[in-house]
Amino acid sequence: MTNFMTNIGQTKSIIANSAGIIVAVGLIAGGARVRSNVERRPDGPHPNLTASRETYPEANVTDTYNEVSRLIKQEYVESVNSDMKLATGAVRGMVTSLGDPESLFMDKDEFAVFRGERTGSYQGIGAEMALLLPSRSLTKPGESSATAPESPEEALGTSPHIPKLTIVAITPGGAAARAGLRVGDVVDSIDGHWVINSDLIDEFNRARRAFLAHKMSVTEINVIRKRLRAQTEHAMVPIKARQKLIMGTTGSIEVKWKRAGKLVSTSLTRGASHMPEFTIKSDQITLPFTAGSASRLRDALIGKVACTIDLRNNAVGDFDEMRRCLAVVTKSGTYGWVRTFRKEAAVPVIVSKGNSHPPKIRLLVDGSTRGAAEMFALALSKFGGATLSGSNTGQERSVVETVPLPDGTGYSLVTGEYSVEKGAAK
Amino acid sequence: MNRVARTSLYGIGLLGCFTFGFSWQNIQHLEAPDAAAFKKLLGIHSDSQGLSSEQVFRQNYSRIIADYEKPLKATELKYAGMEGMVASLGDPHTLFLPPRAAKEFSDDTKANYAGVGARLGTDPLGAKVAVVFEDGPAYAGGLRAGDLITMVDGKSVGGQAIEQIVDRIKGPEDTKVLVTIIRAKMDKPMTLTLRRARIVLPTVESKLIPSTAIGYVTVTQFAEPTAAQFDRELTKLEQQGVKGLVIDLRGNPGGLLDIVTDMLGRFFNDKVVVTMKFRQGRGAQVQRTDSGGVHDPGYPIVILMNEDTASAAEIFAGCMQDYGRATLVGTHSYGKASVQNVFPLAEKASAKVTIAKYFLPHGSDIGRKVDEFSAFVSGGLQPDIQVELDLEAEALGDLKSDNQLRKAIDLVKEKLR
Repeated sequence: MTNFMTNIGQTKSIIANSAGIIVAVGLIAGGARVRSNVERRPDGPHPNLTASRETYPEANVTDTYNEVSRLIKQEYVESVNSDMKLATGAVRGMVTSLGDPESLFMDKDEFAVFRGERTGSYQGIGAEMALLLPSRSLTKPGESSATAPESPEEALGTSPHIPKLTIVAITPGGAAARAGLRVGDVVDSIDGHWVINSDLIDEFNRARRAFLAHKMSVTEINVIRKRLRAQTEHAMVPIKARQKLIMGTTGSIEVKWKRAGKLVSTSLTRGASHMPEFTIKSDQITLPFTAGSASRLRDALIGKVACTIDLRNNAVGDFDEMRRCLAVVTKSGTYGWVRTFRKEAAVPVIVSKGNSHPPKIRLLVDGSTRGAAEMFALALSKFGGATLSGSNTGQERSVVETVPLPDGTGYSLVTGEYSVEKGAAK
Repeated sequence: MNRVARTSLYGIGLLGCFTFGFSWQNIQHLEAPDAAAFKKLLGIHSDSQGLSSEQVFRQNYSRIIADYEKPLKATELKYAGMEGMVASLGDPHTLFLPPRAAKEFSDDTKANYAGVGARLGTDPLGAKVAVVFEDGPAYAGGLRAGDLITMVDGKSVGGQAIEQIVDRIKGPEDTKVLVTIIRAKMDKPMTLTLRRARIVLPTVESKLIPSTAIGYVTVTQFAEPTAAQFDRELTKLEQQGVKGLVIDLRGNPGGLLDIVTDMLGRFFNDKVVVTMKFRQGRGAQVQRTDSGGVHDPGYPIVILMNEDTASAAEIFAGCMQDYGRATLVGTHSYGKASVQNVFPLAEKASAKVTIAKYFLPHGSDIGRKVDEFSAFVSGGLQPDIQVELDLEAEALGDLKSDNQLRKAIDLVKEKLR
């Protein structure tokens, strides 16, 4: 009997224990399940996202990210205390891999300068410096086509695509203006460091061809080879050179420039300078595309039937503000398209609440009319009846998104190209 | 025990079970539970900027792939992100290796691939042939050290990166590759047909300097077969009666620490090779040579090095210098004072991660320091006798024009006097 009772007691306690274990295991499994649900909770829609166009294997991406960051945190010789630094590094890696001179990752200080420039405030030598691929280099005066290759090497496609660091706009009163620099000047060296570009490699390729065609001796080609080696040993990458020129308000630098095949030496002192603000002089308006420009333009045009808008020295501007300005001076309608290299159709640039009595407009443009300003000029002259005065515009019609990251860094991303035609980008 | 205490004990136990399950991903990887995940569970959002690092990565990955003006390959973008994440550590030796690169890395350390049997150096014209292995197909096909490769399979390789050129030369075993070369004192380029074969790289080569009793041993890297090859070559030279030795480590990028330790065991019994200091909490480890492996006739040794002498090669040269067994000639070495381990990852990718820093027997830190232009500032082993290579030198190891080698030979001769 006692035995029997004990058995019942044991069975009871076995059942209770088993139930406990089952509940515990269930909770453990449930916990893991809840965790994965929590981690996969979808985020809200991305701000400023043009369109979410394709599907991509996102879970896989997160797995890889977690695997690599965990490995680093566990194994790297020094302790890694900032997860955000790893994430930012990953974003830097992705942006850099695009190999696009206009889609650039910027560290904290650079990004602050980049944003400053978009409100007209400049540091460094007081110039807007762009990395121009050979085919996008500024047109020389007198040349009508901006797309003609510069040298036979480019036509043959043998020249590596190293962008040239070129002045595309100059602030009045900045060091660059004081030194007499011009739009289109290309940086050759900074403080004795050669800024890598394809010229020397082109020269070498020409020599190589001459050598292969028995028009040059081994000794002669070796002279060029050694010079190329010596220069490459003290070289600076264009992006680094750009930072040296546009960042900081103290110190001076020795810069050599290439202008029409000749070297120009300058000694430049860094400082703060500004692009012209919105101004009206008699009937001429200087129109930067910065916050508030559209409403000031509207006020300025009250009662006017004609005006001249100066778009020179206007190389960086806000795309959205430009569209608001467009609505001030044009009737409702379609004013071109933003095209991409992707499969999607071009997105029309539409003015929905335009000006029913637009004034007659003359636009002043030149090589420093780029980006938003160039799109404004193209849209107005093609679809709004405006006349263009001056020289060729800068051939820069990329639509660029600016993306800030939580730690103060950020990047620019080219999302499309403005065109007055509807077809796909080439 | 009263009922209340028992119930709350059960409650705590069950909550513990849930927490254990919830944190399982972390526990699996021996980490502390993730506070951010708990916050998300409870619906706590610190502020609008309070994205987790993983979210920042994922959002920007999505944005770039969706918004960039050109179509992108998702996998390549992801790997570029991983490379960038690893690069953010600022350590040039910690690398994420995408599947393709991962394969190459293991090719290298196993010293075995389908190529033509030559080592190439950079040159603006294409590639300069640094070494041709005498039993390889390149040598049989007529390629020689000092030749300049300007075309591969009829296509120009001028201005291309050396890895790209090597990629074009490599290929399936037993296929042919056409290589156009320029050779000094030859008035026109020449095209050679080379047959690709599986190459077992000789990492050690030796010869007797003509009309001397000095041996010249080149060690090109420290791979798995290197210790055995080094032994074999030294034994061969010693049987030929050498009285002095020049060991050429110029351009040797390093390799496996165990192999270097083995090789130093020929010279030293139970001596410290390096002290490796691991991350905090994992302590230090001292790597020593074995006892009883010494076989050293004691002849004078000069080691040649240059800025491309790195890592395991610096450990070899540094130990030989610290223990007074060799004189270093040439220019300062690269300055790589850390140890990496390769970790396999999913999708056949891998990562090479710096897991320790090492210090030579005399305790010096030879870590390379560079300026903002990545140019050398300090670091590396310092040579006992500084000799820059003449610009006119045609190829390393060339007795006529290689002035560093000539200096090394003269030094051994002096010591023998």
